[in-house]
Amino acid sequence: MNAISIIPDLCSGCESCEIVCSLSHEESFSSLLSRIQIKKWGEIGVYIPIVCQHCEDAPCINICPTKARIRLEESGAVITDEKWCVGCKSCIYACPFSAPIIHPKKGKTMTCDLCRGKPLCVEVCTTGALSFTTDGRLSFQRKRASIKQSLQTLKSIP
Amino acid sequence: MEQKVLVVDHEKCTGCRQCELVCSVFHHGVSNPSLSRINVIKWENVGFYFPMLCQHCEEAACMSVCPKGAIYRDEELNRVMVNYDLCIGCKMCVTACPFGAMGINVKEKKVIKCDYCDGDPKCVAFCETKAVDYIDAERANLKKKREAVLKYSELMRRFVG
Repeated sequence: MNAISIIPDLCSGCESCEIVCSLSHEESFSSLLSRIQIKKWGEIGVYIPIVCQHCEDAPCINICPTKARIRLEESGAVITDEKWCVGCKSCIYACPFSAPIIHPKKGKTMTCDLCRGKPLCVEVCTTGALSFTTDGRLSFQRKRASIKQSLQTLKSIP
Repeated sequence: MEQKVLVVDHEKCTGCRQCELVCSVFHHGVSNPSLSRINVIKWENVGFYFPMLCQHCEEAACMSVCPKGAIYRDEELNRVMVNYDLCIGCKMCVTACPFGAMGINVKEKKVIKCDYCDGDPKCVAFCETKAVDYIDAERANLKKKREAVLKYSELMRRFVG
């Protein structure tokens, strides 16, 4: 149940995650080659990073006609096997987040592979909009944060 | 019909985690706190315990963020439920919930959340101190109201006579 969790409120749209992703996977500085994409609504200041959620019952795995979408055993990441991918883009249609990206040169889809269990995008994110969680610890972090916040609010009431 | 809600009074919680055990036993048949829908969050160094569970929000963030529409409101019991036939396990609801109430069952790879035990919450039945209670929505704030009234009447007595 590993996943990169996103808190859009904290994202500043700096694109360092995109840059480091493209650098580590494709050895270039291009956001087009990044597996994480920040969708931007600059005029209202909304930035939402979109990345593969590695769904448990993944629609992309179910729809792929060539069985190119596979789940890695150790990290639980859902990736495209380039050997089998024919670039039909069915996974992009099936994905509720449109997370798979088409490689501009190879014409095949690519998604987050969790960087072998140590996502670089999470490491470079300075605002804490991205975090990597394993074993369902995510909800516990949110619980603690929520209690702290409500206590602060309660204390500020005289 | 009167709507019932689960209310938490953290001052009464002793942190015994009995609620976690009965919750996981009722839903999964094993006493494993990590499978519990209610979690007692503890700050042991200050002796502060807070049972956290789903608030069954009216405009639920989990419901709005779910890309498959798998989370729905059950009007009969006034609860928010997951339709596992539609759920794809993308965990967006886990991220979106401001209370962290959406848990993850790591073994079965499913999200889990409080379902009021179909109208008879087991955590309430087993809570010795009634730190969690399942009461009518209108009565939920009665204790606070009573305290406020007492304070107010005392002030009135002092100044008005």
